[in-house]
Amino acid sequence: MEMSRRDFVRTTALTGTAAAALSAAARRNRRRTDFGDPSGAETVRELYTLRSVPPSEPEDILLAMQRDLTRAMHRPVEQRHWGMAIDRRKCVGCHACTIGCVAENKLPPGVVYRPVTTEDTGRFPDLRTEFTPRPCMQCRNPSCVPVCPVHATWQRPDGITTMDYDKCIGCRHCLTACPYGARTSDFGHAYNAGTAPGVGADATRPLQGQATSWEAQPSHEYGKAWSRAKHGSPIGNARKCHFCLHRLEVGQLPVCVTSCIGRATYFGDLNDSTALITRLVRRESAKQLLPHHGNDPSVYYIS
Amino acid sequence: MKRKSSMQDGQEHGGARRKMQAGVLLWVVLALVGAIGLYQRMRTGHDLADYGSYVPWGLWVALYFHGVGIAAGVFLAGGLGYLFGAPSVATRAELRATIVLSLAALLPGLLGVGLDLGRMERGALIYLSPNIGSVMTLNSWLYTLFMLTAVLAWLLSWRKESSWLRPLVAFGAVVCGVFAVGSGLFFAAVHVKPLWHSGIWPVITLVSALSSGAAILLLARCIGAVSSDDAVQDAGCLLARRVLQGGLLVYLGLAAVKWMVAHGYDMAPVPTADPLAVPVLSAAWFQLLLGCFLPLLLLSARRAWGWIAASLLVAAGLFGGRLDLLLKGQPPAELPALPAAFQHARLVFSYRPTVMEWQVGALLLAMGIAIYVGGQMINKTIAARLATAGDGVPR
Repeated sequence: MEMSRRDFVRTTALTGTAAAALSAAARRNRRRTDFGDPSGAETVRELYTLRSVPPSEPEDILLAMQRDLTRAMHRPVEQRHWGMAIDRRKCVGCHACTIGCVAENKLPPGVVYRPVTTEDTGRFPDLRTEFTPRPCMQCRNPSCVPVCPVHATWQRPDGITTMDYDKCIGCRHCLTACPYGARTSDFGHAYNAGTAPGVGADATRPLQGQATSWEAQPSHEYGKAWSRAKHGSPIGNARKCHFCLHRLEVGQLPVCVTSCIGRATYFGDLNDSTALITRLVRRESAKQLLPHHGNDPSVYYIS
Repeated sequence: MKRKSSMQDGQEHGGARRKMQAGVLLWVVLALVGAIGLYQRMRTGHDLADYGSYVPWGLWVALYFHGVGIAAGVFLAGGLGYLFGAPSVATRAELRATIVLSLAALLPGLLGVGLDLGRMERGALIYLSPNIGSVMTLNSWLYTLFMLTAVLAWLLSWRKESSWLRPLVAFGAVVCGVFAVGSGLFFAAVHVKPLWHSGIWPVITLVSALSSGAAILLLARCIGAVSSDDAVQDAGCLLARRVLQGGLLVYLGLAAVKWMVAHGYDMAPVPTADPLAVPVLSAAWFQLLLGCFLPLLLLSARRAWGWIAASLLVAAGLFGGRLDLLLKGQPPAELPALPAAFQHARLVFSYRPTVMEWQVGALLLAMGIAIYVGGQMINKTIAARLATAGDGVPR
């Protein structure tokens, strides 16, 4: 018994229909650029920077970056491209940025947006210790975005790769697709797991129970209140650095920038040729991490 | 062939009954152990699992890949055998057994990956809000398409006349071939992972699927046979053995080519800092020597127990290959200092499946066995009723 001509035609018809339907869906998917991000005039923010302090030269770089941020927010979102530059010569490896980020975003154990790696290089006696803070690279060609099966992560018009915690199914495919290990999964751990909330203060509870309640408070990533109570998102989701988008919206620099005691982290709009970061990246021939992957990160390193 | 005496018949049936009892006992143990694992997973979430953020996928995802591979291989071998009239698999009863067996491999695999999700309740978003450009979505849709096709073919197989049965089976085989390739594409498409980003993986996963599917077909035929002699005489066993032998030879050839090219062009993957291993399973000697070479020798013998051993070794060896590929490609190995930068058990480059993960693995196995045995019982019951009603069972 073999396939008759009629069987073959029907098989071809079934296969062709399925292939055409999948191709059409893929084509429609490829065209999708609208993820509901606001754009245009509604994204312009009339912010200001310390009106009582006139610009001066030289100036604390935090103030300079604050002025750059204010200026960038006067333009619509699609005209900005946020970037970061990290001067490894100035980084002292204090991890203040890591901890500041944990506190700002109320990150649970096992979730980290900005670890600082330490590497010893050279041979004795010419030894050298290098610190490398590693935020999300906010790649221009992010390899984490196309693998998401449900469009829970995408690139905003200002270059920041963002997440929809309400949509993420927790498959962790994006974690495997990031060469920088910049995404971590929230497995629902808590620093104060096992400690009873509401117990009165005593010698064994020096924070008087406040630490526990701190973890129960919502984080405000992406400008929303995310409560981890009752297994709510972002528990079970992939999480990542977003350059403190919620702070940028109100004219505040990312917390890793303001908490850096060595002033080693620079931040600003890479589309603004007069911004401190843009001038620095150009002048110091700043480099990207693992450039051979072609992700084209928006984070630069100065060594 | 000599006529068997009634005493021999009695001994064979006694042996079959003992085999059945041992099988049932084994299944009960697997199911109980698995049920405890499932309870722990539902009660404690991912707390008892060892995967983390730098090795995000573990045993369950490997089992899922293996399950879909077996499903594809079973349907490719059995379905095409039916279409082209291969001896002993050309009947509709055999086609129904093939369909049930492929679903028995696919459904536990999908449960495995479902349990791996961080937000299981949102799994339907793959259909409601799909990113069809993602290989994960594409594969999910193909599994669904295959399940619908297989169930429809199963239903049509009970009708006396159906001009759509053969086209549906052929279409199902095409879908199986595509998602078997899709398993390799899943890795190959990730361009930032040196180990994964290779065009050879889709070919290897297709051959691996065909081999593991043929091994499970052979296993089912051998175990289903009343006696060893019956299994040796079974033309279905012969077909499965031939497909398996061919598949294993091609698999070995591909493994050699992969090794030669990777070393010749200095493309060996970046070594990971910590051991990423499941003891024995991830060793090359196990995957190739015990998983391929030894089964090839065993398959050439005319002994059913040898074929059963060969099938089990192939299933384990090819699973080891898939697990290895999955695990070793995951860590961001180009930044080896990451685990020390912020310390937590979920932020390490190493992974070893925990007891709970193995327990859930046992559950998936028990589920597969239950679906196959239950499905075959349904097949036989319906066939018996049709025969009793005088309608005749469509062949």
